[in-house]
Amino acid sequence: MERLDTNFFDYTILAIYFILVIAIGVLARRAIATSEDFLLSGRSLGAWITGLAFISANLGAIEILGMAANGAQYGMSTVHFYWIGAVPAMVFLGLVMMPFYYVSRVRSVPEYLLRRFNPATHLWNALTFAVASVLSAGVNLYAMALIIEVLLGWPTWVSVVVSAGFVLVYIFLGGLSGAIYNEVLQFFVIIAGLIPIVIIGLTAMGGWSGLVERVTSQAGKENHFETWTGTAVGNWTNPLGDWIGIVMGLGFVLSFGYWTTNFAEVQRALSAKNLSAAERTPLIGAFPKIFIPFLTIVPGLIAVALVPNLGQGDLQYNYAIPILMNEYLPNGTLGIALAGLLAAFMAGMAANVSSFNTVFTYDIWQDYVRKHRPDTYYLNVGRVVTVGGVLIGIGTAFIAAGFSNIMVYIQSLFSFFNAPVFATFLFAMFWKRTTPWGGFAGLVAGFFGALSFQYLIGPNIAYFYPGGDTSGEINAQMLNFYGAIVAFVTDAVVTIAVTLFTKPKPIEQLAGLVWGVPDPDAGDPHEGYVRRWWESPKLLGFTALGLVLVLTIIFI
Amino acid sequence: MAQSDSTPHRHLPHGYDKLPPDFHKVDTRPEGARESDEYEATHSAASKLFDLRYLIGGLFTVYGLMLTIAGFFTSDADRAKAADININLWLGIFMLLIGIFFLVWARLSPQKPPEPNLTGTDRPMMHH
Repeated sequence: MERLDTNFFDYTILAIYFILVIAIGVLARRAIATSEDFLLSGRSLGAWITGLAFISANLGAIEILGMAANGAQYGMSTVHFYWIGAVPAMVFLGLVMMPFYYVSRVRSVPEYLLRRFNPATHLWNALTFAVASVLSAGVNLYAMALIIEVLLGWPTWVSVVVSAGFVLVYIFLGGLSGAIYNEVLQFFVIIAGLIPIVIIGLTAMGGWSGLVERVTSQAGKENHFETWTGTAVGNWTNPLGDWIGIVMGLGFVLSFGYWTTNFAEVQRALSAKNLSAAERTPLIGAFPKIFIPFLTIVPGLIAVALVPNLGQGDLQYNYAIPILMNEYLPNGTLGIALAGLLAAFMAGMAANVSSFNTVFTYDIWQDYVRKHRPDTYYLNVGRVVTVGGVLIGIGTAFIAAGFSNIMVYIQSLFSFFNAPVFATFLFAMFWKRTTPWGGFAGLVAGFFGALSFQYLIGPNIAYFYPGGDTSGEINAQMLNFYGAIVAFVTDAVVTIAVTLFTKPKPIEQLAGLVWGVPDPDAGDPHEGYVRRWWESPKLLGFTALGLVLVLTIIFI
Repeated sequence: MAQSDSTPHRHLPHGYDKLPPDFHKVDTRPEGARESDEYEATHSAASKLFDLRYLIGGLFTVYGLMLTIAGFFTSDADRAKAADININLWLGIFMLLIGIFFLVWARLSPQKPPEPNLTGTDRPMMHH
């Protein structure tokens, strides 16, 4: 990978962007007087802002480069991570789960578990989320520094310190509003940077049909434009495995777990100004999510058409988009694409830090360490924790620089905590008999279920190896998807078993937290709000699902 | 601690107790409630949040102008590199239009400050 041919023009574009990033923090500072202003934007933001931030918090540079890499390596099958693996869960969050989160006025996802279950479940979830957040902030920071070094020649420690410094400044000053506003800005810039790559790339390939021909004529890439080919159970050949793993593991367990219970996502919806806006947050986010594959996977395919030996030697799949930037973009447009990429790097880290400081301040510090202090106290705690979170992130990045394999293992260890969470939420919200200890035992058992499947059971099953050949390399995606199914089932079985032998919470304590048990004090959440027809959550949600269905059929 | 918004002292600054003695007659709340007033004295400042549309609009207008101007001086080499598309010009015009759209939108429908959301922020947490 050659260094990008940047000049003064590109650096001017970058400089303007970085000045604006800081300006957002400084300007948002005025709107902060309480801890909720700082940690939840005072629940005041409009739906289009929270909706774009919802999608942007996930549109980090690691995601963009990674999905382009998957597109190059696996082909169009990668759309499963977007269409079946994201949109249905986002629609479910908006239409079904958001009323529980928003109307109960919980300030975080762990806080829901505290009110629905007990402190043990709460601490388990809050602590693992907090540790996982700073860990992934650090690992992402390091991954980003590596790529910037290749692209621009900046030493890794410079990019780590500089970008962490920018993130620290805008969150410390502007809180969640600073983070969310930057995410929305980043969304538009990264789109403006990716569109030219796709347009020029497709033109150079001779259009879509030219691209298809140039990729499928390469050995081993004949099925690169088919998404469901080879997913038959029993003799799968698809790079993502069989349809049970894709539909149940990815589309149901992993996707719903991430999009509906990961606080970095849900927090964006909780910052919306009313229930209607909160419901529409993930639904508005779903529309860009449907079309982002054309800006990530398609560049991956263009890169593999252009450079057939991509993925061999030093030429990692991760460089798919940078290769195209270097190949096609003149100075100026190159600066825009670079600004979008650097912004995406920072936004990914900022989403981790801004959700970490909320969970740490409210769920750990306020609930277990220092209760009943004035609100200003918790506002200051939030600020201090922001500094602490960024510093730990920088520390983690430098540890990752020395032990990158160990860090990847630790990170995947924490992903097992997340795998069973959606099962627990389903029971929590839809079965009012579920007892506090049932909820706790299910979560813990699901974690160990996922862990043991991933390391002890799965690797011994020949079915997960391509062609059943256990001497080869296991299909990591399939192992992951099936591991998630195991986590879900273990969690469900243990939750039901323990619930049958323990005491449920009195029903009046569950008001507003469980389906069919409304909170008499909450009032009508839609009162005084006149909804225009295009703001109907059902209309938005089912339109998104319909679009996914149509696209799935087109690209089958 | 949900007090109605009509409580007269709610919006008064600290030190209102230094006002004339008869001022206290207006306060109908019990002594205990007034003590905790210090905790509630800070109100959300969320309504002061600036309108992001001006910022997006401004940035895209500036970028759009820079690229459009550069687009008029595109070298043959740059044009050949980008599959014979004058991408700086096209991206510049596109970004300029987006920028103007955001500025006009912000101008035509200004951001309304959110209604005071008392049921939300003042409601005590159940577990405390």
